[in-house]
Amino acid sequence: MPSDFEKEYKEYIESDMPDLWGRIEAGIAKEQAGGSKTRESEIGFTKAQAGGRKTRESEIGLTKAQAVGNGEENTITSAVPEIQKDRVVRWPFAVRRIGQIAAVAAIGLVSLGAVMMFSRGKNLSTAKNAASEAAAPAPMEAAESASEAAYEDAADSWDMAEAAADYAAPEEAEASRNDAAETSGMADATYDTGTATAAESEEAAEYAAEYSDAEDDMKDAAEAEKNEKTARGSLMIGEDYDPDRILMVEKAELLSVRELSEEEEEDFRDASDKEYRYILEFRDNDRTIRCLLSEENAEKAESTGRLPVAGDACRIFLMEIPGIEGSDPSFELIGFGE
Amino acid sequence: MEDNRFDLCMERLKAGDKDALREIYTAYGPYIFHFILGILKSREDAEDVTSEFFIRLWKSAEKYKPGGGHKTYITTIARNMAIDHLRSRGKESLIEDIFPQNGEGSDVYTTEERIVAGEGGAVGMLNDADGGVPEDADVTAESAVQKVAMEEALSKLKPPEPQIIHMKFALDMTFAEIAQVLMIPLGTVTWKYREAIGKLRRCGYAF
Repeated sequence: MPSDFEKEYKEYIESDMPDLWGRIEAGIAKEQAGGSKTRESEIGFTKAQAGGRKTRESEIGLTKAQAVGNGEENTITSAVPEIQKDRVVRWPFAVRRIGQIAAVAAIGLVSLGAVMMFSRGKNLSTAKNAASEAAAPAPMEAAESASEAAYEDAADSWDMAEAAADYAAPEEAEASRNDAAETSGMADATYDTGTATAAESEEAAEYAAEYSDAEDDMKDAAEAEKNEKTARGSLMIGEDYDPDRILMVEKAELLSVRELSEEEEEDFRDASDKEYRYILEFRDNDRTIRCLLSEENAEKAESTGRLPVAGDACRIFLMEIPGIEGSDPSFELIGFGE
Repeated sequence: MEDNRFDLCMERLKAGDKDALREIYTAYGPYIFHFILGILKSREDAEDVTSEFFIRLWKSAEKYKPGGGHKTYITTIARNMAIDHLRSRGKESLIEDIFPQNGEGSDVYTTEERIVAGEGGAVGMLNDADGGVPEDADVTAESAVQKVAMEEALSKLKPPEPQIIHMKFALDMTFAEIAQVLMIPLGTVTWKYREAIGKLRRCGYAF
């Protein structure tokens, strides 16, 4: 006997959860104790936004100043070791890149020297000698300067990354809401007409994008969800429908329309598809085709004795039913087209 | 949890009320953990990221804007954090691929392995502390079988099907919300949902 997936899934999820509350509490306590660290990352974010480069020393100074200003002397002692610890972590980034940066700098210096020598009208051999002389001390100097630059870059990147990580989720959520407005706008357009063109969808998307208010976005999304079942066929055609699944019918002769038996329902229906409760059987030249049908189209077919389209030639958009590939009927009807 | 209840919790969080976080953790802890686990495929990493998730929720309470749908909000944050974690682990994974440690460090086991190991799995549920059979063994055995069957069925799904199924059934999210979180078209979500339903149905589940 089939078991209820939703019920069992929720039970499974709830029974399989480690107790993390202790760790969370400890993490919060640590955050509370190291409040200056948060401010440090916030300062880093502000400075990064302003486009300002900074050194770790100036940041420590600023953190200290804030902590003292807030009367948090104890925080200073806890914040400084953390920053020093961070510095240890960051050095490997600079060290790893020293070789590459030094090589690039050395090549640059050699090229520059050569160009300068040429520009002064000296011959090639002189230029080569000069370039060799210039190249000799270059790696050391380049390594030093590159090391400093790489260290600063690494520090900046780290701060920006950390600060961005703090802010990324809400921003992305906001962006996602806007995306949803576009999606739902497109969906609305497609749902309403069923044959909306790409241009119309774009217009609808632009229209929906004008809604910046989150509430409106979510209303649109809810509306899209409400209409989803009705319009699913159109969506599939518009977005990612496989052209191989379009069945071309030349001359359809209706044989029968009937409701699914209980056994068939068990096989063909799923939670998202309760409106397709009828089987339509028709003959097209020398082949017999059976497919699922909505009640509305079934009534139309029964009353007219023809397929629910104008004329006997049509396109039928088919979707494979999971689990019964290759059997007959192996497809589910999701829409008619002229 | 309803939107307004979550908004109220976030208001209390802004004021530093840890009980509000506890309430959110109780309501969503398992769901967030499994959502992250579905992306990371490692229980240890999922535990770390889930803990970080709630700490971040606490830290960023002031930035929360009510009225935007809290399930979308929390799942988006969880997804971003899990993906960030994956990226940060990218180099380590590469090293592990090159130098496999004979299974050490990997905590993704097959269902059979987990049963044999008894690590909170079916055997762990069947045996009591003394290793004997508990009084309610029938109920526990049934739960264990259900758990094994569920894990088997879920293992048939391919990304993003597990996330879609999780958000649909565990978090009761709409298809539009799921599309928003996963940043994929609504039509793709419904398509993947149907495929996942088909696979689960073949494993003996009804919908």
